[in-house]
Amino acid sequence: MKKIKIAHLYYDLMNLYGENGNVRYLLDRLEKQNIDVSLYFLSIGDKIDFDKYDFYYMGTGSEENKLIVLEDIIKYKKQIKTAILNGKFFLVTGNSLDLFGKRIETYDKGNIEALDIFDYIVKEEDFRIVGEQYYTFPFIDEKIIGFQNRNSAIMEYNHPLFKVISGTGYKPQSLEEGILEKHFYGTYLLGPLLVRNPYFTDYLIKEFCREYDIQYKNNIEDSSYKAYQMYLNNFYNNDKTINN
Amino acid sequence: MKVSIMIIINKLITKICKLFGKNGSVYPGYIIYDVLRQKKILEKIKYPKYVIAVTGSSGKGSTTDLINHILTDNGYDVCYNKNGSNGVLAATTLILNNCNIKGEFKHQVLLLECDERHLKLIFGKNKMTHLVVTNVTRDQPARNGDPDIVFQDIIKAIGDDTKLIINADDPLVNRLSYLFKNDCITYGVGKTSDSYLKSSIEAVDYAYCPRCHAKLDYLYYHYGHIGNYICPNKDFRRGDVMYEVKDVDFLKHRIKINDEDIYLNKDVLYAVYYTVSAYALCNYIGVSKEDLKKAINGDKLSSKRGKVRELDGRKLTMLETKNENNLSYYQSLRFIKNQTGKKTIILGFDNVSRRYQFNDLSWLWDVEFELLNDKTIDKIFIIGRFRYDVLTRLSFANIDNNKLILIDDLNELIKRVKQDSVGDIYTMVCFDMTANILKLIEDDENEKN
Repeated sequence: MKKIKIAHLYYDLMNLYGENGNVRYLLDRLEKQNIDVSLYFLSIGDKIDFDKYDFYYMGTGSEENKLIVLEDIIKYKKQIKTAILNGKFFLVTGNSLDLFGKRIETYDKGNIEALDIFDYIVKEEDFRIVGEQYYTFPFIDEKIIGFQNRNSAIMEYNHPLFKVISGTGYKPQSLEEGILEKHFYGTYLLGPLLVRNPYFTDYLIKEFCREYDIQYKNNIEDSSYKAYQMYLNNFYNNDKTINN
Repeated sequence: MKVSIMIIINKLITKICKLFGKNGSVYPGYIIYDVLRQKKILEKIKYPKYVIAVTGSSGKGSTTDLINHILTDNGYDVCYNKNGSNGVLAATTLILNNCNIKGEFKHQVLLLECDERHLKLIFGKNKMTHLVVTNVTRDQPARNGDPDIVFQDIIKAIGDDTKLIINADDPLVNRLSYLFKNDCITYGVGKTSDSYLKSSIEAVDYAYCPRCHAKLDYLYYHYGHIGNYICPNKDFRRGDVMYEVKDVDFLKHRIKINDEDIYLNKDVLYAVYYTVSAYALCNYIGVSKEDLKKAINGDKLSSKRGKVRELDGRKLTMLETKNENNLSYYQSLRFIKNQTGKKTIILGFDNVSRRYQFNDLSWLWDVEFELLNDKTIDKIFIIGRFRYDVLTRLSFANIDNNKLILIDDLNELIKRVKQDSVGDIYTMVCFDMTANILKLIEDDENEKN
């Protein structure tokens, strides 16, 4: 069986919200499928080969770190685009999503060219969007839960990952959130999104197995599923209300 | 409106609060600052010679307590926010209550523990004479955003004449040493037996040189990004500090600051930091080494943290641990790890924060729970409505699953701890659960009697 390689990109800069939880959970879940998986931590100073790895993950960083990463990652612009077009898996969470649009209109540093992989413009606001998020994902029945804490917004895009039930989409008042293109999954949800949404992770693993011709085995539900259910029980008594 | 009227109103409301048995440390300031919209009132006060602020993500309360202890012991007339309310409303209440009718501050020293985001509000125009910065780390991100935002807010409060007393072990804080031309007094802690070269979790807030963006090389870490670092291009470094701690001996409660033998009132690293920062500040403003030693070593200040109780003849230490702050958890975990004998731990929470209703759980993955993978740990009882989230996190920390016990009904906790575990007990819980557990212990004691 093919050995699967996960790349945690800019792990030491884009790591503000327990991002390590995503790669650890992903690794564990792939191993439970009897897949031989290796995890690679890559950052500034490494030569990143976007053909070498099968799953790329990047998380949230401070605004300063986001721009430090942009200075470095921009040299891989073409390779990243090719990798996405070739169906490599990308999970991009929090403000690292800003890097994949055409440009970032910053609050205090003017316009900065971004990777220009997708046709969206990011605008940094002088306020922060902070709060609980509750979404649907069209390919599973279970809702998506999570948290956002950002000062940037995507102006418009046509291929959303999630639909907003409550919370914030691309920008305030948007009812759509995130980017879904081939196997690129991008969202402003931050932190351990995969751990908190085990059913979404199931979907991701199934897609991954399908892409790599690996027989998918049904998963034994662990405490992460109970945590998910308990969160819904405690905080959502219907599809729109948050109970605190 | 005139300052004198505001001072009278503030004092009057404080008296009324006290009459009704309320603490009254924030409410009068709220009336003045928010309701009467006197946002500039603090700019109209005539301040004393010493206006000292202590800020940072953690350790500011203990540092302030110790500075007050040293200065008071040395004859200074100090007014400080000893109840720990540290925002602009509390500062307004305290300052106006300690002014005469002309708006002149009545004490020789104003000493304030300050919320790092509120510092710029308290010291908008009138800047402090001395600022102690303990550290800037990820803390309450729903309120604070990221550490860079906090740092930028601290910068806004610094005036041309503000003397800076900074923890140079924190590279983020140490940026102040080259961003400002002010007098800058640095302190730090040398390598200890708990220092390490690599953490099991990469939850470091500051890893790159602020000048050239090269990754910092660390000679050692104390915790988080706090340690001894140098930029490979020599653009930035911790370097030598003016007040350096050496020979940390937790067992004997002793440290050396610049070769002076100093007492430590708690056997944890954060106590080392608050001791050296208070020492540095007080020495800088004129307290001699001999008088510092007398104040710290002779008239010992008791430690506030870590209340000790007893349960069924077993020692029970309550470590208040701040949610949304991985380094607060780290210090509790390190404290537990350094204790001898078998240990039982109680862990969990019902609410992430008492300031807001958000339930961002991401910080759980930044806490190095891997330190609990230790043969001295007998059992870990997991409580609260996020117990399955905590359990999931612990299941990734290489801890034997048999040691993890979920408590669905909190009323069962004491019975289960007595029945199913051995050793000293440590609670590592936040504000809400501390009160619950104390009540359970008291109920248990009452039942016995």
